[in-house]
Amino acid sequence: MGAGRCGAEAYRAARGVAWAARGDGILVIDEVARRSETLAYPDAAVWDLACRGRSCAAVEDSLRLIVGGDGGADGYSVRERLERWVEEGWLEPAAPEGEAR
Amino acid sequence: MANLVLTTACNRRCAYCFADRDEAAGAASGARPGEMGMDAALAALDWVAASGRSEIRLLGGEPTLHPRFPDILQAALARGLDALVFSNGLMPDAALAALADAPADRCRVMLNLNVGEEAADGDRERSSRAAATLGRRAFVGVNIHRPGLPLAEAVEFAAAHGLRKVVRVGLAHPRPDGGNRWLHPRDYRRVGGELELFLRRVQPDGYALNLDCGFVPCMFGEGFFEMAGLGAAEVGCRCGPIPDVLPDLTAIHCFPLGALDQLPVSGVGTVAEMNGLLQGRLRVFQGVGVFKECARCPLLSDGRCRGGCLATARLRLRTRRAATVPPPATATAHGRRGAAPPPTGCGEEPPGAAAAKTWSIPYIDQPAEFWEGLVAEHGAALREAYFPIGLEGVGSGRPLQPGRHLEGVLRSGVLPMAVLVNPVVLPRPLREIGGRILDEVRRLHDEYGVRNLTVGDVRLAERIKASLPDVRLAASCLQEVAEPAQARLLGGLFDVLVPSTRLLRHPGRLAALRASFGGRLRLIVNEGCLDPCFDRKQHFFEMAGAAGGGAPRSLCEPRLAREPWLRLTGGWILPQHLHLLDAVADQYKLAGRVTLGDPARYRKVLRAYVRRLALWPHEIGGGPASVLARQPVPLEHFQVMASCDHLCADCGYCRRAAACG
Repeated sequence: MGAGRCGAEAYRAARGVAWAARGDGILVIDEVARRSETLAYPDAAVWDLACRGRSCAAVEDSLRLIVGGDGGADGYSVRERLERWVEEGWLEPAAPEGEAR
Repeated sequence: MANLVLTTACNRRCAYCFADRDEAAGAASGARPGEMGMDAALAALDWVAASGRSEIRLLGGEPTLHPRFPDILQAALARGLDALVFSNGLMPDAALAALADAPADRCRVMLNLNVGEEAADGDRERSSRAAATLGRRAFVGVNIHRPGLPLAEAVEFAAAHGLRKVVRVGLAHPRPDGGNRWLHPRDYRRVGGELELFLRRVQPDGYALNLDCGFVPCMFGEGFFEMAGLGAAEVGCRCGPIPDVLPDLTAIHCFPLGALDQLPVSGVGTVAEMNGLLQGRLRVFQGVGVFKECARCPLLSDGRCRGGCLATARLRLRTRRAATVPPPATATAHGRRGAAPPPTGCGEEPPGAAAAKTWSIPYIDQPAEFWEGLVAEHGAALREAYFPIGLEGVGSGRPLQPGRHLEGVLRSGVLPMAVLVNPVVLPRPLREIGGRILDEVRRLHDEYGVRNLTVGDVRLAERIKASLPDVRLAASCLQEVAEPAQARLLGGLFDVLVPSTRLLRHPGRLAALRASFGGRLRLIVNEGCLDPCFDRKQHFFEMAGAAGGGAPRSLCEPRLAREPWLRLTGGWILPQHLHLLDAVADQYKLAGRVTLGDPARYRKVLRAYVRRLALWPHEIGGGPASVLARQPVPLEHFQVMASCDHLCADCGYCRRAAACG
């Protein structure tokens, strides 16, 4: 993985955000603001794993397992991606894995 | 046109009804709850007429139950609007008389029939009386909420009462609260095949089909469009805005999408403007599609399809509440015998996602009645029954199987059928034999609507897909896909991956495979092949040369004779423990057309797996390394194997388990 290491922080979809798997990745929809974004691989895998409650570190591990080696293209950072989605209002911080949810 | 919802009251309670029954929903003053006041009705008619529309559609509930229905109908006609009334036929005399008196060329009635259901006492007579009175003013409509509806009943009704020779067919779509019976997209292709057959039967008598919204072109074969005189776009783009104007003079897209947007009519100049506003609000959902594959479908990209009903497509959306998956089973440390797991008794159904999983089951040569019984028992849990293509050595690598009843079952349409095209090795080069295989696949596709294929050869799959783009391909387990890199290569071509059965006790590897593949994972649950066995294909190859269809002999037999405990390491899982795989499986598959050849045993094993009832390991059927004797296998066994490293030489766990058994 690239810069920005992951820890136990976890995320969940923001209120009003829904998503569906499609043949070309994942379509994320903000049902309130009526905006959408199509996520291609590997973003789609990161989104899916994060929204299943996996911590940032667990997402990173899974991605490494899925794609092998360092887990993807040079410079790809799971943490940066997740933080950007928080900034854009798609995700919000959640209790880490293992804590009460 | 526009739809006026005159009342939410109805005198029938149809399980599939997607109309909003919230009778408190905004009635205008002076009217009963859920009923459009006369002033509101006139205002709505003025609005529609001033918008330059030529037709108004009156619906409900049952619109004729509105006490001023005759007046509203007259008011519509007086404003130059033709009327189409959606009725169940159980209408008051005054409403029937008003409809019968209206000019026949300006007023039509769609009589919605519940085919395949017993009518309540007197209802049949009342709807017959309405039909006989209305004659050519009326035509029949049917809402399809499940496959297998007797559509012929609609034509019989129309013929008996001299109605117009049109059958309007709608798909039942889900209500926002999920409280109605609706047609799941997994049944679309089956219903498409049924409609094609139906049209073929009734068209010679002059009947035509009129399709409502939500249909997708891929549910039909090519022949349907020619026969129906429709283009794909006419089928796939019917989810257009026709606002439903509710009793409180607010407009919604339609009932299934009613919760999304509700706009007051008063602020919007014309029907067209309202349509534009509503359409804009929906645009963001139009990329979802009822199928995951919609996004890459050329019909969607070139505008011939909108991906089906948006209400149905929205059910594919996950939200943060629904996205939580059950935690993986707690694995016991490798090699350690922990406390005894809670017993799962016969007949006990453990909680879990059993209902959400569907099953591919092997065809055994039984008449259609046998399969009807299975469908009646398991319903939508049965995804398909698979059978080998009738070409020696190509279907499954085994000798041809008995198929006396196969054509009858295919013709019956009792359940979706899938064909196996999974040779271990092609008996001749693809360039020589590919044409024959393709011809047979096309015949099954065109004659019987078979659109699900399990294919064991990638180049062959590419050829089939190029020729028949609407088929759904499953990558056979004989491709022995076990690595994410392999799975990724198949992702664009195959919709489903049946991974190597050797992976069944490796949930972590299955999860990686699934994420990499991007499509659905179908796991074979009762095939007892050994985890490290690399002779499985050889085994199938030898079976192909064996005479008859008896139980296979196996290359692993001598080894199993020496070390019978190895049978506990095979690629099978008991039905009562299946929940351990739910998080990594999308679908399940039963193997064993040979060893489950006994119909009674077949029924028992299928019932156990679908309902998660307990079985002994020797009862599950399956492959060469199956357990042969009654041997207790607790949940803990699978938990241990899910987390162990499968290096049996270093471990005595299964040896001890076999000895204890």
